Amino acid sequence: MRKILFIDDEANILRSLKRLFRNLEYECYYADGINEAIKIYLSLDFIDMLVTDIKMPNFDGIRLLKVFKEASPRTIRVALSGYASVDSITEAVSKNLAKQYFYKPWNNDEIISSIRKMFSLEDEFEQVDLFDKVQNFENVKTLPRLFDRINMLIQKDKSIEEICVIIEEDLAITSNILRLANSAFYQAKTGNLQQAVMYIGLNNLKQIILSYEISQMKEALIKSGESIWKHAARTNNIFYDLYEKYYKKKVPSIVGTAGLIHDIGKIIMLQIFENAYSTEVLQQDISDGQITVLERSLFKIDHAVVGGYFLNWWAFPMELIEVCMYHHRPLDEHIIHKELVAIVTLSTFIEKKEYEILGSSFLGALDILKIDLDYLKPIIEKYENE
Amino acid sequence: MGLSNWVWAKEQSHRLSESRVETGFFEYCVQLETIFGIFDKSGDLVVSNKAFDDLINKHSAWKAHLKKEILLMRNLGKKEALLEFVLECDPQSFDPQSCEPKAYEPVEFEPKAYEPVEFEPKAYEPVEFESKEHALREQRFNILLKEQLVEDETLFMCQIEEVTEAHNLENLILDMNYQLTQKIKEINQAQIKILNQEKLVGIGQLAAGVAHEINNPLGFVKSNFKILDEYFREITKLLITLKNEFVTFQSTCESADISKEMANFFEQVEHTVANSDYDYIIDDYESLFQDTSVGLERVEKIVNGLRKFSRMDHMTNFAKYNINEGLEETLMIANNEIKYDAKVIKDMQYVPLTYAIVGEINQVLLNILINAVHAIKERGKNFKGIIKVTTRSDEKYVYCEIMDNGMGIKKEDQERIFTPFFTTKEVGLGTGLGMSIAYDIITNKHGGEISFISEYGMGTTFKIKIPIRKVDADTVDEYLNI
Repeated sequence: MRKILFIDDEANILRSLKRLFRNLEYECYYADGINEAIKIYLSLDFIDMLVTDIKMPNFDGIRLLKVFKEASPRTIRVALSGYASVDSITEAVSKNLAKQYFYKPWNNDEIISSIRKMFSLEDEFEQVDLFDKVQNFENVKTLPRLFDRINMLIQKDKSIEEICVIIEEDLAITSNILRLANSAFYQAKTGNLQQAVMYIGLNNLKQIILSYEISQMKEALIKSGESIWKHAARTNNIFYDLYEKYYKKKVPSIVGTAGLIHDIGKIIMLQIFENAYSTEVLQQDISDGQITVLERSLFKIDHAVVGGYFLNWWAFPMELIEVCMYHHRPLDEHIIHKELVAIVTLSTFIEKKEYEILGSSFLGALDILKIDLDYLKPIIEKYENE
Repeated sequence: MGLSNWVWAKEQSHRLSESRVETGFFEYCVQLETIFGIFDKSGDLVVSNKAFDDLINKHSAWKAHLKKEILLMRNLGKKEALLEFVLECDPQSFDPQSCEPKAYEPVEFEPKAYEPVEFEPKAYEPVEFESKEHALREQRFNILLKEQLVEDETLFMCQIEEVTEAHNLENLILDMNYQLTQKIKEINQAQIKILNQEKLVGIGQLAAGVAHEINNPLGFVKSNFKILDEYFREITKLLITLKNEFVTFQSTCESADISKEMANFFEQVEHTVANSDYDYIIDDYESLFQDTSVGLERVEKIVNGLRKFSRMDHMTNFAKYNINEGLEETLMIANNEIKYDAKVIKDMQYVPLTYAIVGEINQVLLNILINAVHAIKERGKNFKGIIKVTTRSDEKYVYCEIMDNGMGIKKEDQERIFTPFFTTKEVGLGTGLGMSIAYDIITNKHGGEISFISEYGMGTTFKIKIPIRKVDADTVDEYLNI
């Protein structure tokens, strides 16, 4: 049975969680503070999930997350917070500390269902673990050095100026990243890194850097990957327009690169399977929906799972992992953030101009958002000509 | 005081002896710097010191003026007079001869008492004012005339002091004082604006803290309540099962077979069930649960709305703003004020996002709404108040109108609506700052327009227009300087 550890300094909260998880398929533990939590952790061989409050007067939930991230990186970390201020969430997100956020007051059914879905995602990733033996896989995992370095700097609360200076040490990376940033966030007319951070946020910049580093892994493959990037950057722009139209508010920074990274699995597969992937998959003129089928037949795995797996490995938030995993099957029952995934699905279709096909995933996405093709028309027209 | 300092008026020969001139007689004249002279009772000069003599001879007007003043004193029986004398000169050619004496009008000057304010003094920029011009063109003198009996003769002592510079400085100081007072007024207004801003930020922080405090207990109350529901259903299921078992058992027992204890037992159970509130509880349960759930939901919504409304970054940063959303949030916050007096009608069309300082626009909307409610309250208890909220947009602007059928604004008050501190409310009910701050926010900070039409006895409609900006963060500063 999977083990979940709940941590909150308020006994009432712990008791209510206990009541909630009483008869479920998990072994649950409850701690009222960091000491108790560590005691429990040490007494068990492994904790599958950690659910903790963030702002607690006697100790810092953030600190707790940091400790567990180091001590047990494979434990899924979830934040349950009553203090849903922008600051505390931003800190936890930018430091890649929690995969998912729940807010107090929570909905009993939603929390249970989300936790179940997170575990089922872990199950899906197990199939990728079989590939662990493949040399290139390990390389990809350890590849994003700059990304790791930036994460460390952020953990140490370094200032944005300092971080930018470090990135700027490499001019090639800097100019490429800026180019990517400007094309993926089309209202950005940024000329330098600091401006880029001010406009799109450090988080998004970090994710761009990661994507870039992956694509540069093998020099020979850079060209093949370019079409993927172009598609990704444009998709990001479309994603922004559609998101803002749908929700009538701006895209929150936690999902700022949803359009950009949705196909990162393809870049990764390119690095892993090299020319085979390039000729057999990328150069084929087939629709997006058919690609995963082809991939599975050739490589026994598809880019959605690969992308999701690695984003998970790099501790990306749940929203982005799901976008990667499910953008071509938006109706999957395991999705927590259904609407977000649907928006990305539609964005990719618009980018590829494949809306004519009206495939099941396209229609499914429209269904989830409760909109029709007419709703998309203005956006379609806008990007038709660009 | 040597004799060489003294000049006898050549035309006069006088019986005042030289010795008299020297000693004691001239007790007023102490320093050589004084301009001093002695006149006889006809106003003619007898003797003076050199300085006096020089001065008098510079302009023909002197002798005549002094003579006139002395004769006036004699007529009025005045023993002493302190006069001001002004000579206006042509600035082009400062020719003493061309100076014309200005008719002098004495002015009562009361320096206004002012309370010093702690502030950073800005470098004073001197302003052109009239007296500066005059400084070039006029000379000012103080004249002291005193009647003195000397050896049975009435003489007039005359002491002249040039005060041109002092006078100009005085004017300068008066002017500076005026400028200062104006600046202080401006600073006070600015200070109030800042206080208002800080107050809002402070309230925002407080609200965020309160929201958090509420979210925790609300968290476990909400969760527990749902669990309670499950518990109740479990228990009810059990009860129903037991009840059915009992009934079944009872019916299977032959009346002859049952013992006395058994019969008692049956009777007791029936009695207990009959007397319990069981049926009522089962019946009412759904409604009780539903009501409480709805109540909890409302609390959650209000706390969320409050938290959103007072977000810190909403107070200061430009961000993408949807006015319909802002209106909904503000209406929710103000609901408690509005609901007893007015009905709200919404006519909100789709509006695009525009860059704005979210908290500030919401504040403007809140001010207008509260004012609308007060206007409606003026109509009296049973009046059916209506507040209509409309939003529209075109390519350039987002428009919002808030109309109320309250008392309206009197014609004579209308032009002062946006003036700071103007209010028709009683002391203590309003600072009169809401609309002036609203004006500042909409026009200065956002480049929009705020206006109203109102008829007393009919109602008021406020109109706001905000330009649709799609600027990125870097050009926001540029934009603010437009």
